[in-house]
Amino acid sequence: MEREIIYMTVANFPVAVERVVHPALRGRPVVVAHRDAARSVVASVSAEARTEGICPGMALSRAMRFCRGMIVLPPDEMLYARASRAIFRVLAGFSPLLEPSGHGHAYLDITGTGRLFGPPRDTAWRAQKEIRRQLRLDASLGVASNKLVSRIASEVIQPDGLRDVPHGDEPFFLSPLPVRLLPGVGPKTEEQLADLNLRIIRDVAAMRMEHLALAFGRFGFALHQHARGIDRTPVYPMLAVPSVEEAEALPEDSNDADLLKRVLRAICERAALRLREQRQRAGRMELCVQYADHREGVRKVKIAPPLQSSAILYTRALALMDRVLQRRTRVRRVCLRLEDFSAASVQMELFAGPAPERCTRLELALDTLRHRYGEKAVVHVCLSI
Amino acid sequence: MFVHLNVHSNYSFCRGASKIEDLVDAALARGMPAMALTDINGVYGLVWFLQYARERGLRPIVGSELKTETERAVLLARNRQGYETLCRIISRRLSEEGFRLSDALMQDREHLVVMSDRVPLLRALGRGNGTSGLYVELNDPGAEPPLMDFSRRSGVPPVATNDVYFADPCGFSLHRLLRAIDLNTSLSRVPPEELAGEDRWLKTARDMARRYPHVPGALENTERIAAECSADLDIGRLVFPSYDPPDGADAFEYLREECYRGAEWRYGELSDSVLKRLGHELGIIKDKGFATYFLVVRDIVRQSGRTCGRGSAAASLVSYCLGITHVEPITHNLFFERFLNEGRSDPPDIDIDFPWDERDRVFDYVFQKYGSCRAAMISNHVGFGARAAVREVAKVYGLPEREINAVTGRMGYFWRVGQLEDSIRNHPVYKDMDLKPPWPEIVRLAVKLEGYPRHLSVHCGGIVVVPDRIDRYVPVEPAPKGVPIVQWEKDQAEDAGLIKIDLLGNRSLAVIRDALAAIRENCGTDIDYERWDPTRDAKTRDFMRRGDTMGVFYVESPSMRQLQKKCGTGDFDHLVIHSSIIRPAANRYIREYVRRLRGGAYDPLHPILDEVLRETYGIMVYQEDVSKIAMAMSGFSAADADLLRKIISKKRAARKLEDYRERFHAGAAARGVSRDVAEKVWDMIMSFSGYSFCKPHSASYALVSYKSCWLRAHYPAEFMAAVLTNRGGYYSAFAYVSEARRMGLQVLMPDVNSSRREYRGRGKKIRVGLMQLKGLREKALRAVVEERRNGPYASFEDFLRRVPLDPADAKILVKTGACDSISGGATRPEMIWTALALHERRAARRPAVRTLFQDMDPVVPPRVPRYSARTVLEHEIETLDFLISRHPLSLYAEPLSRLKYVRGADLYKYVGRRVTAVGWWVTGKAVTTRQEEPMEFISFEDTTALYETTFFPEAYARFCHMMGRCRPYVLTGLVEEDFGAVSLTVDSVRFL
Repeated sequence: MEREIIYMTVANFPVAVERVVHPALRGRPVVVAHRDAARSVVASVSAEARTEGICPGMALSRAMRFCRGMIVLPPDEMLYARASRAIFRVLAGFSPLLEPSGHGHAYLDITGTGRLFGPPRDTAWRAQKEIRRQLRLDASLGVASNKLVSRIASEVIQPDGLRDVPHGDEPFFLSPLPVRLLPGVGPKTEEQLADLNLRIIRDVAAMRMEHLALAFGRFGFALHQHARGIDRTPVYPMLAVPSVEEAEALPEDSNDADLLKRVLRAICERAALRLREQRQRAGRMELCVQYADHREGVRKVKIAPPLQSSAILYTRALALMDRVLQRRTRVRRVCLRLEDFSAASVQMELFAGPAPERCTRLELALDTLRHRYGEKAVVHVCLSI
Repeated sequence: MFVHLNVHSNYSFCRGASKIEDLVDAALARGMPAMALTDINGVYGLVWFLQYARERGLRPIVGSELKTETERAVLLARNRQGYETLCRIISRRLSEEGFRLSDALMQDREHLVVMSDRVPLLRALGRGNGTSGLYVELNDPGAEPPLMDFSRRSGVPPVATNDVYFADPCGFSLHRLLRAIDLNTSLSRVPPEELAGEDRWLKTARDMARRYPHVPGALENTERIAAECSADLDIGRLVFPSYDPPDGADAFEYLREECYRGAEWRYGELSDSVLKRLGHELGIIKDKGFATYFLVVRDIVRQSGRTCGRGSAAASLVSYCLGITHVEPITHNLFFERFLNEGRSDPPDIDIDFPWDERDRVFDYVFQKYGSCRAAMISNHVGFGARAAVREVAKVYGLPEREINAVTGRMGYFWRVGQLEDSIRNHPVYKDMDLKPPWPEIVRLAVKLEGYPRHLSVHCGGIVVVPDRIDRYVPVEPAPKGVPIVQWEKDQAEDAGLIKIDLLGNRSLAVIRDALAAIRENCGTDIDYERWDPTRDAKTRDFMRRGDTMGVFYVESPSMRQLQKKCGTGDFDHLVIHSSIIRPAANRYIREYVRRLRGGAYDPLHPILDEVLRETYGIMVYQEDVSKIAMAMSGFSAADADLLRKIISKKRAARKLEDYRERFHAGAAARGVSRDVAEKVWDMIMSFSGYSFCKPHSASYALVSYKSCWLRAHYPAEFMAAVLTNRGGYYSAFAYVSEARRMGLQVLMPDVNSSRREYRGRGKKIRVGLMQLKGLREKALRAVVEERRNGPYASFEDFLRRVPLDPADAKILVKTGACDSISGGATRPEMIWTALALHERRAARRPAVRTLFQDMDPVVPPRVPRYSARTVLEHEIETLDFLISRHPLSLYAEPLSRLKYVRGADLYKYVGRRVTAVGWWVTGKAVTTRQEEPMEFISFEDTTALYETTFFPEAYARFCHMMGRCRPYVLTGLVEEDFGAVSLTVDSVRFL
């Protein structure tokens, strides 16, 4: 059976979401960046700001010089996550096979929904309209027989556009486009292709498979398929892996060990609180540090025995952070993810090693306070400075 | 009274936070009579310490803190033997694997004081050879009880130190910064064990007494040890290399014989003047004991066919006769006393230039002949330059690389660290940059790093040869590239009496060598380098006169070419003057010089002066002019006059200078010179304080220049090919290729059947060498050239079959067009496909990757159209670094057709008029005006000529940020002429 895949993307997602919340921002040059930090960079740019020469990753101070009347909004990750979930909820109304690919982007497999919603193009149009109606967000959608073509289709149209590629038309649709739109073709591969005088997808599609294999080895096969618009990867629906993720962007990039410790402490407190709320213990933790130059350091460790106490979590996370922080470049964001949950009450073994740690009564008392008066009602003394 | 016996200066690299001067001053201010300097595993700043401490009246004690992974002890030298032992132990520590301090000390510590806080070490030494000279070092109250306990039981006396790392408490922050830089970490993450405590400063005796109230003996012992250690270690006595003449002859007699033999070879018949001068020089050499030195230098020089002995040594007839130098000193009136005189106590300096690619071989010879225990290279103390200082501090602050580059990229190469704050605040290149926090703090801290050494590197050419073992005089350590280096840089080594021989790399000598070889190959003409005298050649002189000298050694920079043009003299004698007057000390007199040279009248300050400076038109040009004037006007002896010159050039010892001034005036008065004139002459001498050449040096250089210019005039293709091959001239390869085109030479693209590794010139053509191909591996390059010996490549397939190239290398050769001649009609992308297919076939033949379908038909390369014209040019730039097939300006025909402009070659017709010209940036020189405002001289070229432009401060401030080397500019300004040299004073710039 022919598949029907929609790729949905909201251009400049953070800005678009902010504009929903603050309609006055529409039509104005807007960027999302830490406003108060002296050395902040632009994270997301509205189309109006882009015409002024501003692009994501630019230093905010430079961007401000380019465009004096620009509005700068601080990033609100929670809001974007919420908005993203809302979009996915709308899309889920059309098919259960939904695969998110970051905030504001998702694949939707609508194969076999014709009798419910009509032809794929109509379904996409409806979804677009629905998103606009419910959330006031402009999404661009690509419709095609596979993930690859639907994604490319959504990339080559206007931010609020819709493009469907009929079955069998995939090679014709792709042929005049530059090779860099194909997955796996970065600047380096693009240069290699250019050396072989293959600059647009049509050139690559015209090659025989063994020729591409000569130049690119196993990737040649994928390239050959992709250039012809063939992609058999299924849409993987969201798997509900229970996890707790807490992140904090530093107000200003820093490599001060004390400040990083404080940030980590705050994250751990929040994460552990959520663990206890869910009555879970975490058996694995992942710490991700994003540096000022956009590079990341990530480490994952097992936690044995599983835990839910803030204090112990902090001690473990601190040890992990020492291993993660291999560079001295300033840190922009710290993210802690806890997974591999087990139920809070554990059957103890008779001759086992150390018993799983238990929350102290103090922590439980603090939890009660926080539930009643808010998360910031009681904080660790180091966070009150 | 307490004496600090464990003190680290900034020569404990990236640990010590105070300079030697600050430590000595602090010790004196705290009323201490003596102080030891004990840098870690070295005596890197010893000579400065001894000099400064003596000057200020502090008794210096010499020592070092020896550290290994498990052991640690402070060693102090009691006397000269102790110092030699110390040097030997340090050398062993730095060069031996598995070095154990206890073993080394067990063998010999008779003349050392050993202080340590490691009980096992003390115990081993005590058992081995008694407790004499052994002390328990107390430097950390926390670790004291077991040490005191050991001291009481064993009888080894305690001694208190503060393990000092900075002069004052405020030095701690700098210490922490240095540690963070050293350990690649941030300030807050320096491990505590890597930091000295905040109280490790040079405490007063009272502070120390307060800290050790319970062990007064430990404090008293410091004084006792200080008294035991001699402050005079006989460092500074001249150490000559030894040379064993054949048949066991006496070195001086052998030198004399060789000199006379050499004189006959140089002159044929020996005139009286030659004999007299030779006798005089040999007399001084004998008195001073320099014979072995000359013989060693000659021995080294003989290792290469083409050298240039330079420096003051070129004034010596002995050097000339021995073949060390090549300028005849008598005819050219070179002043021998600048090199050697009876009163001179410091060692003479002989500098030899070798072709840059032969130098390593010469070093190998020296180390092989004299052994690495007798010879070592001089080191450089690498400090923080302006860029490095800012970069390192910014990294400690965790700024991302890109942001650091954005700031440091705008700094000039010669910016001083100490003036960074001012430079950044006022320099126009920072006009559009807003340095937000933490940048101001970073710059403020970077400034503090001025003068701090960071690590050692190898000096580019200085080598020391001693008669016995070099580690008797100074510790030696292995440099990363394997050669042994002494721990002192050239100034300390010289002050310590080590005689250095400078063996320097010179690209122009290699250019001359390669051009001569090409001439021999192309025309069969053989030229004897050592006896070759091109100074009388009319054609060469004409080239020199016109400043038509791009590629010619030392005369190719825009300023030098302009000077040649303005002077309109191309003869050797004037070139000697010009080579020195262009240096910083004298270049402000250039205008006046040109005026006088062109017949302008001048009035000498005094007839005596006129006599001394007649050949340079009454202007001080050479270093020795100072000494000559002092001798002629005030009756200074040669030695005193030479000292005066040294004091002025090094700007040291202001007090001594005052003495000399008085003597100068007294001498002048005695010769009837009025006070007023003497004052003016003294001021003139003082203004001559920057860097300049001495005449012998200038003459040696001028001779090499003349030789290069002769080659340029007579064999342009061979010469320009050699210049391009040896790289490293004043200009980029792009500029030389353009110049070759202007010279009427045709530059041919690389070709696998015709190109050699190097550029090759013949007749009117230059073929680009494969060395120009960016990214082509050395192995591949060699394989292409070597296989061609078996016959030219018939086709691309034949080429690939015979040379097993990696596809990446084949791709570079194809993209650059080097395979076009053997393509057999295939397009370049098709050739790349062929290379891939053949490589695959070759890989499939290897058994390791045999597959089920290996017998399948080989892949036939696809048919692919040729690259677009634009892609071909892009590939040319990508693989060769710049456009060789055409001038980049020729790509701008369309915009140029709409523009009314003057061609570079026609600028001289528009003198006094405002014109528009088009130019491609070639080279630039940024300078500052007298008002300290930056400006720049930039050379541009179009397809017709290279021309000079001046950006005065206002234009520079407006346009400097636009300047780059990858696009053409439209320049508007006034054409000006100065003594026949034309330049454009730019007032407006835009992109074409």
